[in-house]
Amino acid sequence: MNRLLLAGSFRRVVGRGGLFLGAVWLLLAAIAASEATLGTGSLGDYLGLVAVLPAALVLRAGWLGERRRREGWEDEERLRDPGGWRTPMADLAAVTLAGTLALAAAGLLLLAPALRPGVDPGESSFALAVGVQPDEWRLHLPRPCPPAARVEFILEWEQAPAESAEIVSAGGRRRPATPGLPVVWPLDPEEARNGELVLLRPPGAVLDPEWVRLVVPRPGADRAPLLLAGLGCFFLPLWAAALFLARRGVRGLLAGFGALGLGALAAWQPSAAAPPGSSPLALLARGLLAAASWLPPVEGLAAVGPTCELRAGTTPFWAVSVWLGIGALFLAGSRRRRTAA
Amino acid sequence: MDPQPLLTIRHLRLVRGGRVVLAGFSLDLAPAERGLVLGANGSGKSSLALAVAGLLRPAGGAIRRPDRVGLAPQEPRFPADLPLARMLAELAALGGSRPAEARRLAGEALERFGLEPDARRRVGELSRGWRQRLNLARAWLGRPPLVILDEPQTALDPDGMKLLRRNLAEENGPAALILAPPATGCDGLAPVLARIGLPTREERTR
Repeated sequence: MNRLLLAGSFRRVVGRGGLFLGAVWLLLAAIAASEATLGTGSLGDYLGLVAVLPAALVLRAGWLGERRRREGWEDEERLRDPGGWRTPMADLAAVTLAGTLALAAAGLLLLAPALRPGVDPGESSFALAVGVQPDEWRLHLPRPCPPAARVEFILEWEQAPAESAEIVSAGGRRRPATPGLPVVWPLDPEEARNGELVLLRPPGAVLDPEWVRLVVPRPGADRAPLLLAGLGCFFLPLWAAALFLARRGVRGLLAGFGALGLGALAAWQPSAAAPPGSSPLALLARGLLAAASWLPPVEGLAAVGPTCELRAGTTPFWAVSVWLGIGALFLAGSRRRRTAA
Repeated sequence: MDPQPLLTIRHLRLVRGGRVVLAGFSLDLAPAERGLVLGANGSGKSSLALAVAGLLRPAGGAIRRPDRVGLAPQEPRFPADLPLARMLAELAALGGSRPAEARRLAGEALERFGLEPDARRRVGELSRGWRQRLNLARAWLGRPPLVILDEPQTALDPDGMKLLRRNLAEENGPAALILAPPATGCDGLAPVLARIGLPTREERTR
């Protein structure tokens, strides 16, 4: 990688004051996430604010591609670079460098005691959908299910309350259950993989879905480097996509938003089946679901915000590889080569 | 003269926007040879320049050109906020030169057209005439074996024309294909190799 080209691309990507604005944003994010009255003080909240920076770089990458075109640089690429790789590589490397700097700074802020965001390594709980059958309950778990998750629920009895009972899963696992007290059910790998926990209903027992929760440990600051690296992996193909679209003639801002749309599809976890019917809305929803189903399941890489705990660490290696491969295809498609004579 | 031409164009046919702009054009240019193609406005000179540079796909015919080509387009576009030296150095790096070599090549190209005192100025601060000098310097950057100059006289003052003549007369310099309208000051820059006019009705529909 030529240092001059990289420096030129970096200057264009970051622009005047870009580093300063990025630093101010990170500082505000750390302060906001440290302030108990503003948020829940979780690592996910902090990462949600940090993710604004790589997302802004997606828009910036689109703008960079458009600028190259306006400045006549693309013609010079075709004249001077027979392979057509140098500019896309330099541009992507510059955006990646800027993104890496932002994410590394975000990680370093977690080490500064005065600015340390209030990362509370407690637990978060999420409601679960429950299918109630006459003789069993089906608890629908998120797919993929976060590691170390457990289910907690409270059982009541219709008739004379039992002092204690035993609840059994369809897989044969057993836990004692006391009326009015929470039953803690750590999920085993098979239940997590199946995406469903089936509990056999003890005679007379009642399970109110309101009292069923999936409890997931919140990641602490020690998980931050991994989560930040995941964010980097998530945004890398999006930066390449924005460059690709802009270098194919799409306006910079539109290219940036198009790439962010792709990212939104990849990070989407549809909670319901496609709606039936032929209304425009239903067709749109089905189209989006179909498009999302073609993308690898990388929502775990974008583990930010209030559902950070649900997503963190759930992305399989193959999905990361495919996702990065999509980025490589975008990069290859960004090349500008001379026409054959 | 080298028996093997540096640039060979055979039966070139160019179409832009569904309209034939050039048809049946052929030309040879030897290494270090300078040649002028004269043509009226709209006769396809700029399209020919782009096609020879490899920026426009021909609809027919064949072009054999060297790997490296410098182009001074009729309407040059530049990054307005970059200093001249940095812009040219980045372009030299784009051509594969290492940073130190790229800076040296940029300095040499600026010097050719009297731009070295302005090396630190931003491109956007230049007048039209000085931008044309920069356009020519960009074509000569890295000393490609062939430069294509599309109406190079545009906006040049007598000093600029003198520099252009001097660079074209340089011994062992690049071959130059100059495209210009007749009687615009380019006539004496090089021998006339071809004249192109508007395609006939028959050629447009062929």
